[in-house]
Amino acid sequence: MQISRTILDYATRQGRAVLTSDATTDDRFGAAHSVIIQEIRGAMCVPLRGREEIIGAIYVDSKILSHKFSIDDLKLLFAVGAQIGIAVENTRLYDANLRAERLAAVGQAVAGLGHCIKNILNGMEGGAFILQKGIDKREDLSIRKGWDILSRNSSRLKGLVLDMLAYSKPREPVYETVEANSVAAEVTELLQERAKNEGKLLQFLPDEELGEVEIDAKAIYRCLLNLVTNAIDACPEKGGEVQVRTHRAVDGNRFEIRVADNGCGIAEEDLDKLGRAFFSTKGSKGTGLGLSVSYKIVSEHKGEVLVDSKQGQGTTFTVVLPVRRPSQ
Amino acid sequence: MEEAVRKRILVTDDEEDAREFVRAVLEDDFDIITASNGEECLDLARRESPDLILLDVQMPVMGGIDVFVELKKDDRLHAIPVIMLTGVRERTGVGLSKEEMGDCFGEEPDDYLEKPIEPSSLYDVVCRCLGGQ
Repeated sequence: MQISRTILDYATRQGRAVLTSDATTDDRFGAAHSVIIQEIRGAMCVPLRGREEIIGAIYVDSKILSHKFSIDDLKLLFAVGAQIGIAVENTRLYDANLRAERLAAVGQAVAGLGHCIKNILNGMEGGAFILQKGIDKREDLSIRKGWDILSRNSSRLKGLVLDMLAYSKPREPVYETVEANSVAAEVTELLQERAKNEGKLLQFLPDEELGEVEIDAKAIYRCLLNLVTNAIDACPEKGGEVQVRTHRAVDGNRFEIRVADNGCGIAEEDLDKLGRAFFSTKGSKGTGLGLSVSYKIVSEHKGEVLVDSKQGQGTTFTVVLPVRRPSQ
Repeated sequence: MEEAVRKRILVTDDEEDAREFVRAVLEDDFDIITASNGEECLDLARRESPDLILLDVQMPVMGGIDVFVELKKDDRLHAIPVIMLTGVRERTGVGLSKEEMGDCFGEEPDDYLEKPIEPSSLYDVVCRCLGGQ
């Protein structure tokens, strides 16, 4: 579609609305090639203004000599142009803000990951140093200690990578029918020794009548592993207790897995940050991804995570899941 | 001839692996005592009067910077040199550089070490802070 660049440029450079009843005889643009070739008669052009600059224009023309645009037509175009100018500028500002926020979020995620990995690397360097010292001095105790530290931090790194992968992409649960208590039983069994080594009590109190459910067992395993690990970490070294319970919800269509600890509790101002990637209250121990991954897995199952916490008393995380896979 | 008295170093880090790492690097030449949190660090510092404190920055409940401020407020502990252990390059892990800490609190740590710790750097910095002894 052809328009007259001459009229357009005049309006936008001058920053003024243009109204002409016959562009071919108008002194302002009469000799212009585009006007003559396109035989432009009546024309209106209104600049679109942002707050500080002209960002475009609205252009209307007619090749019919008898069709003349009026002052009222120009006023209407001017009013519409003013609104459009602000709207376009606001959209551009919003897009620019969004891009800046995304970049900041990416930056923060990368910094958070870098910090986690540095702490794990510190552990691995430490393990290797102690192992080497033990080999050099032929001290079995140091060799064992160094190897344990190296091996433990290798597992931490693996856990971090798995969490990163789990967090990074949307995933449809791979449903299978399992005994509802089996996943929680496996997780508590795995973590029993760790709890015992830290002088803490870990109990599993299942609802024996829960029966079978349809869940992505591997994903819910990962979800619970993060929650129960957090609960163990939160407990005091003396008298620390974690209880994992299951039971069917009142409506019968959902079931719950509760992880309760008697640890330090969560500050009220931190409660709405839970589930946010790289937010952790565990100092250098926390990757800040575990809870985010748990929340994501539950969400993918169309379930929810409820948190009840009192500072100084403890925290209960309740994972609520549908008994049957949601219908499509 | 009397044996030279070994300097005592208090290592504070919430991670046991990190404490063991530092112990392994320094225990041949220094007496090492350890704390796993800020409160324990302050308590041990008052009781044991260490010659140097190695202080992790990112710890739950009471972070390294809070501990540092308390150490400098206490007349009995003020003169003990402090080395901050941080996982963030040139900064103390919570957005404050050594110089900014000086501006905020009127005191700078004697040095800082970035994690992962390089054993030879740790040893050199410790010796420098203890006056090369």
